Amino acid sequence: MLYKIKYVLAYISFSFKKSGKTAYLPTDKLTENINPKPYKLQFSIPSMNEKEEIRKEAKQILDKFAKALEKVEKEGKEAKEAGKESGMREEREGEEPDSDFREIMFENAPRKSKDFILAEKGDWK
Amino acid sequence: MTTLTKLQAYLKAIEKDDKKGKKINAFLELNPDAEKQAREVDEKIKKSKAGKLAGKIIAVKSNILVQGLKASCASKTLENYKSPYDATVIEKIKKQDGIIIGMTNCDEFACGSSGENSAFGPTKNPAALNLIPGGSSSGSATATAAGFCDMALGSDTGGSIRNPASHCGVVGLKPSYGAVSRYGLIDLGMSLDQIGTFAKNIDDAKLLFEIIKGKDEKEATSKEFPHNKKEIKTIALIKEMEKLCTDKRIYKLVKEKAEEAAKKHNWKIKEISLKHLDLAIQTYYPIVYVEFFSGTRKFDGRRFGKKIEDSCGKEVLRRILGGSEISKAEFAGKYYRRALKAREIIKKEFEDAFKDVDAIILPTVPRLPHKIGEKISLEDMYGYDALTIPANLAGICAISIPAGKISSIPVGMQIFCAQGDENLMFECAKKF
Repeated sequence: MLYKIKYVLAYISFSFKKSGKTAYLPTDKLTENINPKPYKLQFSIPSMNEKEEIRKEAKQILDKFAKALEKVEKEGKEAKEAGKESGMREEREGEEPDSDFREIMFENAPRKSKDFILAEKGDWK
Repeated sequence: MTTLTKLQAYLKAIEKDDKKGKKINAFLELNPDAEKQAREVDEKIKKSKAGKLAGKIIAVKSNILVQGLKASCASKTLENYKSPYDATVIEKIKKQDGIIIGMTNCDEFACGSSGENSAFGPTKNPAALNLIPGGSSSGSATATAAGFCDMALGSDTGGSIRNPASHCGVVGLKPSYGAVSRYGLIDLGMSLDQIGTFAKNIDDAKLLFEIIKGKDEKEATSKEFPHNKKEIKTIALIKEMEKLCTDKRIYKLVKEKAEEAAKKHNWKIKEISLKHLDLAIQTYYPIVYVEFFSGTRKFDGRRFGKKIEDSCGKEVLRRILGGSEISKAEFAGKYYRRALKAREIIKKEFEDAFKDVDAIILPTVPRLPHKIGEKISLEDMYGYDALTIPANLAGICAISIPAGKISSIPVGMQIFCAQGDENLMFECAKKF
């Protein structure tokens, strides 16, 4: 029975797409609830395979966007670089950070020794 | 009601419905000193020495630094990162006796339009608990809508304040680029980011903006804007809008609202054409990918947190990898320069439009929010910001205000005004 209902719903959704109309969810389905159920956590750290997939996906969408922007190539002037309009600062005395700054900054560093933050030379890439 | 009793009422509401009850999940951390600070403000009020934000309880998005509290950006990368100093906006709020109640949830590093991309779980929409609240400033919008605070700060790079404000039924302001200092904001796209405000009403959104705005020596793009226009005479609707609105009911609702207001206040109403508006998304993302890639190079796991590529979620990684591709010399022209060119064209279109009209009225989001966890395509997800992005590309000011409801879900409408014309925009918004 459940299978049949799913089939009918899928067919309706497909028909809407085919006809070019937008399929809206019935109003009561959108706002009914209101017994909060535990939600499935969306967030996950991608695996190596997923990373490769994401790289390809990013490239694909950028290519699509670049193609759409082709038509502006002949229009418009060359753009200014971001943040260059009002880039001059007034000359002034330096500021001393308050006493908590130094303490919190070192607290945030994963590896430190006395007054130094440690970084592995070989790890710089 | 004193500041303390008001704060305690909000804390009680948070205790009831944020992690338990409705499980809104708006907050990532509460300020342990808030009660002490509220007592101090009440003392100042008694002595008539309090600032303009005395009695106001304010939530802050987790990408803005509040000294001693965590600015995690809702990411595992900066999970334990304690802010070593106050952002300029926070310094200003504290000076005027506003109370910071806590740090809010958001899409990881502000990358997202739904509020589902947080490493600490999605945020729920208080107006319809099974739906997304919008993003990326999901926690700040929901905290305001759920009655957990008076007002909140968010950041808006392509709609991250206005989009959740629309879905949650509150007011969301994106100031003109440069109007508010970004010093102490963990950036997503430095040429587009702006810190802005959420509130339950226009007066509160304006009050908080008045406090945080202004030139800051620590932030070179910040500046003061002269206020030229004094009153609204002509408003505009965009010719191409109906086509851009996925849900035509939203277009109809906003159009009717604009026509009604024009009639009531004797404004002229014009239809204008912004021919390149349909290229907003395609222009925005290459710019954001590059700027985000560049901005995240500091998250190498040495000075703070973890290396970002090893600890972030999919959307953040997509932007980093995409940005890295564009940054390769051979791709710079094809993606980035082309996008910058398109941006200039869109900006020019708005500059020309504002020579003839005082404000442009349009929907905030072209569709209703989807269910939390529902799978939608990447292009549909990016499409949520199709109508908010143009204001960021043009650097103009924009506000989203509640326009009504469709299927019991809040729908917002935007008012765009020229760069620096925030006062005019607030006046216009109050007339609706």
